[in-house]
Amino acid sequence: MDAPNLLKIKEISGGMTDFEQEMLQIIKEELPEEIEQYHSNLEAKDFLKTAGDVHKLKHKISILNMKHGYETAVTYENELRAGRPTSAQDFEAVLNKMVVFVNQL
Amino acid sequence: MNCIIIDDEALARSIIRNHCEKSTDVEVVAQFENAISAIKYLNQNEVDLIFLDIHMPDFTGFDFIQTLKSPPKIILTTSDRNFAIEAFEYDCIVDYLVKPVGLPRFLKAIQKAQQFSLTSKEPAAPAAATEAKQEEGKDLYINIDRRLIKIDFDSILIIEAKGDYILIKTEGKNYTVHSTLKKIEEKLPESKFLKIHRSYVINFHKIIDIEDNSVLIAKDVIPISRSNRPILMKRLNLL
Repeated sequence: MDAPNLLKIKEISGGMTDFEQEMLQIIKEELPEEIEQYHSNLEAKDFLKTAGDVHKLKHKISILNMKHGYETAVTYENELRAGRPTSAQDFEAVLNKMVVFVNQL
Repeated sequence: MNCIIIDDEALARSIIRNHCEKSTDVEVVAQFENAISAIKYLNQNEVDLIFLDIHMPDFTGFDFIQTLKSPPKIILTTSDRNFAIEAFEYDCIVDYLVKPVGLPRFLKAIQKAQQFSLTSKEPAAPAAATEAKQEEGKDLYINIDRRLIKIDFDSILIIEAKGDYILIKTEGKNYTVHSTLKKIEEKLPESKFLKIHRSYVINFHKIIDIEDNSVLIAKDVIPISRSNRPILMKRLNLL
């Protein structure tokens, strides 16, 4: 599985460190909230809401430049919308990598 | 151009706002984390351009567009790389951006929005013309067993989607026709008909009463979807 990195964030910020820091700060704040929301809806077996949470997390996965992680999220989101989620563990692994990475920033 | 940003994600709003600051052609006048707040703002203010997230909880970007009588130019933002074709059904949509949005692609979208202003800045005339055309007729012909049957608009109570068919309930009779809600909606006068749920279009003037999430028409209780409820409430002549 691909590891998260800051390449995309640096590309988007165009080298402007203030902008880069602003993005990282928001990710640090939003990511745990989004993951918590995802777990809560998954636990309640509300697959449509969970699919919405996965959809929202896709942006964070993309911005941390996890190409395979993004594909995992797409597959999982589709499974959830169909009411047959089977990739929860794979997706959880993507989330864990993101959390570890973001906590080190 | 002045613009607003509607996105439930702070990160997405931050990226668009920062990109806007790098462009001399666009200025952010407000940001919203949900569509309802944006609707309230737009009731009081005019903007040239909206950056609109498609996937938001409760009220999607497309639901939002449908509440606007004369929508400004809209640039959609989405996390989907395989983007829904639905976007191209709306004339106001100038472009769409896949998140995370890079600056070069953002500037290209702004350029498109400006060209759009130069070439098609008067959407009001065609919209009015369409409405006038719809108001001209008082009836609709449906094809049943090779017969064209006339139905007066005023006699229609409800139209319900049923797979590849629609069920038209009138005051006298019900008709099942091979068509879609979208197709029949285009033929109906907006002043009388309203979609209140993905499976139901109702004759607005036939409502008996409205409860929290349903309307009563004749003997039928029709559900109101959460996203369509604001449109319905806006149409009511409330005391």
